Amino acid sequence: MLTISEVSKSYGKKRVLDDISIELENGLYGLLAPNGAGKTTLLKLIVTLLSPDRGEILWNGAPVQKLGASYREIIGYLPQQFGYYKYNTPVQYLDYLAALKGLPREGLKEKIFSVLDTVGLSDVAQVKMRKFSGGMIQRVGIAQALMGDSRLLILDEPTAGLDPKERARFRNLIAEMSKNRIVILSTHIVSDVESVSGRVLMLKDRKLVRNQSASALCSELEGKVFEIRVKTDDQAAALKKEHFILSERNEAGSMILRYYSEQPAGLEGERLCPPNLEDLFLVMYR
Amino acid sequence: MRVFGKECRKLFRPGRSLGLLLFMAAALVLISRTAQFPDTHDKAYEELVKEYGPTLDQAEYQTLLKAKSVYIEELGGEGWSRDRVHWAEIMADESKRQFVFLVDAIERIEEEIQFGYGFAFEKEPTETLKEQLRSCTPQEAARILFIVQTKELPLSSPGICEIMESDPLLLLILVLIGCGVLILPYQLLDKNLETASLMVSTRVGRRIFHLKIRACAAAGAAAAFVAALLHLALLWLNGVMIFWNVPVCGLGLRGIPFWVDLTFGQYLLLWIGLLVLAGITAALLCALAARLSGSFITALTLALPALAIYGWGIHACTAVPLSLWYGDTFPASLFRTAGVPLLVLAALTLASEIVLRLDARRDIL
Repeated sequence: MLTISEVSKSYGKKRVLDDISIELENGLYGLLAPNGAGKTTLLKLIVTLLSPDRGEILWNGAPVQKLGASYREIIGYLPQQFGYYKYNTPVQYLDYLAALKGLPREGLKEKIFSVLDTVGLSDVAQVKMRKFSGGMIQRVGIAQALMGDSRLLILDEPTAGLDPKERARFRNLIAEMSKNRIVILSTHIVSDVESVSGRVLMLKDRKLVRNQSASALCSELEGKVFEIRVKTDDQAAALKKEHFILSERNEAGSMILRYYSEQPAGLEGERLCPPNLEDLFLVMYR
Repeated sequence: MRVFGKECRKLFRPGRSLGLLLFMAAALVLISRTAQFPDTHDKAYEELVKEYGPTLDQAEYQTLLKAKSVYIEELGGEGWSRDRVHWAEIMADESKRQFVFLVDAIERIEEEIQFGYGFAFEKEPTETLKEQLRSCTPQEAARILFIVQTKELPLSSPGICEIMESDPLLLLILVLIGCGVLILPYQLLDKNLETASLMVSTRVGRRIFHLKIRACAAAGAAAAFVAALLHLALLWLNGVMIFWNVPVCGLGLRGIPFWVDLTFGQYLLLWIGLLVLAGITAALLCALAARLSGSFITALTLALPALAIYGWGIHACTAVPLSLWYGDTFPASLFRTAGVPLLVLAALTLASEIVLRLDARRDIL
């Protein structure tokens, strides 16, 4: 079990995280917050790249800083930005990282090809990475995080640069993996979290403000999300003035506005909608 | 050990290593004194070594003087060199030309003994040398007198002395260039690619920085060792190895005044040791400069002056070991104590340890 206990972190005088406490057991956690809210900082604290100013992080009750290598060897980490050597093939790169992770040499080659197959890169396993697209590089990053049967998988913006097909494949993969390990998925792409997360962790104003399942979070907006079809720009402008618009789209020559309101506006054609996580995200960080 | 091996492999990328090897070999062949060694004058000393061994005692010296008379007879008797027509004939004849250079070599040895400069051969040194020795410390003066008043006359050649004076500096420069070429891009690549967050989150953790510094030190030692091997090969190809057992302590054209008696072979081994030491030191210096700065230019600006001073100092250790008439200049005077290069290396090792320990506490942003 991973315990984050009253952790705070500042960069100089700027406080980024304040008094964060969470207990994480096996399962999938989506860490959701806008850019710059401290998601990456929290993940870097968990993987010991940063030290907390206050509080501590415990793995099965022991402080991670003291556990050192024995803690880091159970981590699979995909940083938001990770360096790679263009002159390496994915196999060479993963072989190097396997050495850093202390994975045994025995059966390593098979393991490398297996993870490359998992992320759909087995056909370019021996191609230099200088020829790779951003999405392919991201998949190499995911592959290295998956190597070594980690008990704690930390993924910072893992779907950045992936095409829809790869995103779907990736979501299925981590849903499967979260059955017997802790998977923390940090993103600002709400749909990624909504489709895979068991629980959603939300950061706001340097604090952890939500730690619930996606459905429980959505229920907070039950009866407060509406849609209406408007035909003129004046109607749309009037509605935008009165209510918080969640989305707008054009359909058959008219505009459909989705909005948040504590009470029904009482407009003609107004329709109550089931809320989703994106609605909550927009309302919470408006 | 496995990670260390991987880091070394990153350092010695095939293209760069091969390029460096070829550059070193080309520089040695084109610039080194060894490559210019087999001129006829030094061939004469080679002949003497083959005939008499590495040194001459009094009896062998007398035999050598008799041999000189024979050579002169072969050349046409006293005054042979003043006849221009005759001279051209002699130089066209391979065997007679060899006699010319043998005579020349023997006359140089005679002059050294006659003027008490270089090797007095158990005689009292001249007043001129005694006068010059007054500017030295008593220990240095005693050492020089001991070298000069030798019982065994070494048969080293001026070419050997030139090799000892100039080749080490060239090798040193090559090693320093090698360290720069290998280490600066290696250290800066990881820094610029921001690989640290991924590396440090793995089992190896911040120990990776220690391993990288160790890999740099190993690369410095390897660059020095390869340069030394190339130089040894060049010495062997040019027939210089025949002087392996010849003593090289001396004054003037055929020796350098070292604190201890050294043969040419011992000098080479000592020099290889110093070169490896210099390689490791230069590597640590480059690694630290790259770690503290973010760019190639800044790292080079930081490392170059220190490398230049260190290089000059190391050179002074071997080429100007005693403070005679030209050696008492900074940093030669500073480095003249053989322990100083070791002290510099120890200081750099300590500095890198401090930097790494500070890094261990620093956040990886």
